[in-house]
Amino acid sequence: MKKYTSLVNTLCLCASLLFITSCEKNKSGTWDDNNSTASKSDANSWINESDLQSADGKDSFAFADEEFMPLRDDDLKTLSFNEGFPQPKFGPGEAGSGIPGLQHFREPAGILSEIFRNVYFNTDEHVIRGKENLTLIYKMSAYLKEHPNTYIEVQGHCDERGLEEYNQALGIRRAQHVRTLLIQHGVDLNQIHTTSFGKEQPVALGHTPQDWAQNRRAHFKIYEKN
Amino acid sequence: MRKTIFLILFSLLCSSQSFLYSAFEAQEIRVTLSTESPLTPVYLTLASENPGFSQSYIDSLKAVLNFDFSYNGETQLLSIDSEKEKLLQRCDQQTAFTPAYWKAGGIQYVIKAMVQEKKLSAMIYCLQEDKIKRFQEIPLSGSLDKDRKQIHKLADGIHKAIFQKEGIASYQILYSQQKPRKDKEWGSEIWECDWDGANKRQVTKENSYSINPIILSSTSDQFLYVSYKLGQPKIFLSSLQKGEGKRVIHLRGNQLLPAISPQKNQIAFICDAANGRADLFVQAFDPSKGAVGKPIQLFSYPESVQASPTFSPDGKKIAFVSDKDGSPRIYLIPSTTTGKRSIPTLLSKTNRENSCPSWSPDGKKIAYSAKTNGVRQIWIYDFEKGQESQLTTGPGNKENPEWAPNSLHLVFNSVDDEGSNLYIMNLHQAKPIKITDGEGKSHYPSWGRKSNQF
Repeated sequence: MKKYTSLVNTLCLCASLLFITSCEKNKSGTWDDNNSTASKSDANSWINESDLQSADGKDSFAFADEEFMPLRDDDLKTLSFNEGFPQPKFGPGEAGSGIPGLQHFREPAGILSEIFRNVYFNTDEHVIRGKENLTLIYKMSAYLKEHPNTYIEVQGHCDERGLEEYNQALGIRRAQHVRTLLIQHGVDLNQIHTTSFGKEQPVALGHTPQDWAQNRRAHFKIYEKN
Repeated sequence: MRKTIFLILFSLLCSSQSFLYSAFEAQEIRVTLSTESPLTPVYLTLASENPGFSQSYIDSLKAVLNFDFSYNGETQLLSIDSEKEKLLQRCDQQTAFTPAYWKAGGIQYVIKAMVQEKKLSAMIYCLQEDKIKRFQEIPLSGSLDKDRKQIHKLADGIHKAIFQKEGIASYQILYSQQKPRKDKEWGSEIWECDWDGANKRQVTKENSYSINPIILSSTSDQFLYVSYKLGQPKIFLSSLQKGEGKRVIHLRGNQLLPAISPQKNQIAFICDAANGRADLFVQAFDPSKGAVGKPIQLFSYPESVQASPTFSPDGKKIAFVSDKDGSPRIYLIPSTTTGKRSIPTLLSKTNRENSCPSWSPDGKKIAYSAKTNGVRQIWIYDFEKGQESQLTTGPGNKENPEWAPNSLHLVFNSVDDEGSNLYIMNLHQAKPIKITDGEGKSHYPSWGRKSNQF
């Protein structure tokens, strides 16, 4: 019975992941399409900030006035599935975060190297596609929920063909998309930090489509708090 | 009948001649226009007499001086001529600078530099005024790295005497150099070099990933840069002497692509602190105190990425990249906000994939990179004409142009099969000059301090 329940839960989570990403796919085939007026005015893609509170209330979205002077435009008060959640209030290594800096995060080893594997993106896209990538996201979210003292860094990387400076900013979107999916599936947002590397850290040094595909990735590093 | 035919033929011949003449005349005009050069013809020689150094050393000094006058955007060096060289060797000044002789060659200035007993001296002969200006002797050390700076200083002095404006030969260039590390990741440090690519020096030694260096001013040795030494990219302030940065902006998330206003009182940057989106922020700043007050979220737009801010000379406007309307393009907005997003003005309309704008210090132009027939080229937006024009051509993806203080020269990086290297070029000379050719990827260049200041 327990096995049956677990199977149903797994199927439900996979189905919901597929639903979210297929929604994105329908309205955002390419990067440019994502930014078209049509996609931005799609009311179904917007959710309220109040729906996005973390489970234990450790962080909230009413932080902005404390740290910076925010814009007050109405269209910035809601978040879409395509966009991320605010970064944790305290960065790794900062007083209050309870964890060391990201330089102390390590490559996943042992069983974690099977769960926290790279996920890959299509050209000019920041949304995850494909069963394999989505299964990985599911496994990661399950692990992180079971291990609330495990923290991850999600690195967003691009391939060599993009603009250097613009890709630094674009890498944010890839990392944030992975983070959004994990939070949507119950992971505490304070467990996930993101870093944009643009195209500064390629793993494949060739200039073929295969090399580019390997470099368009989200890469993960882990810190396990005792 | 014959008379009629003759008359017709005669008139046809006349009209064709007149047509040919007109065409020739028109052609002449075209030729005249195309040969109009903003460059001033100059004859430059560096002679030596009991120099106290080897001939190969003298040749190295000569090469440095030649570079400065070949690519300063104002002078056109004429070929070395044995007869002219012989004439200039003469100590008899009146014979050496015979106006009729030099004018016949279309020369406007003759520059004679001389190395004698480990000292460098120079004189300029201005043909138009038939006057000579002499420069104070400069001692040479015999160390090429040090003497290069003396040559650049002399070149800038001569430039100012001729054109009544500052040259840029004494300016340094800051850039990032990426190299593989032992741990299979890539490292990057900030480097500094002379404007001709010589005297390369590693500035930061943080064993991290440091990019996007921006000097606070040409008379300062402080610079901003982005470092990943805390994991996430953050903006740091460092000095060229210490090379170890202090964090400037205390804000969560990724901080990228800093730009400093010419007044040095504002830093614009990109940050995802608000909602995970790459937004444009501005931070009030004091070089002696650091950040002043809270950062301000200046521009954000649903589902869009902002990048690469650059300030106008008065600090009141910012040009930046946004993909809010599809492909990334350059927009302008005021650098202040009342709490509501300003409506940005689209600047780059000709091409798609525009990036890395740089506002010229004279405020008249913005240089940026744009994908042009599949290759990224440097383009210029001219505010006076309201037009965009392509500056570079040829292979190699060219990005990250940065204006020199004279608003004439640019430094940028170009990626080709040989890697990523730095180039300089100016608006008067079409050919970019490669100034780095070493190991590692050199990119994100910007004009640094003026070496004479230190």
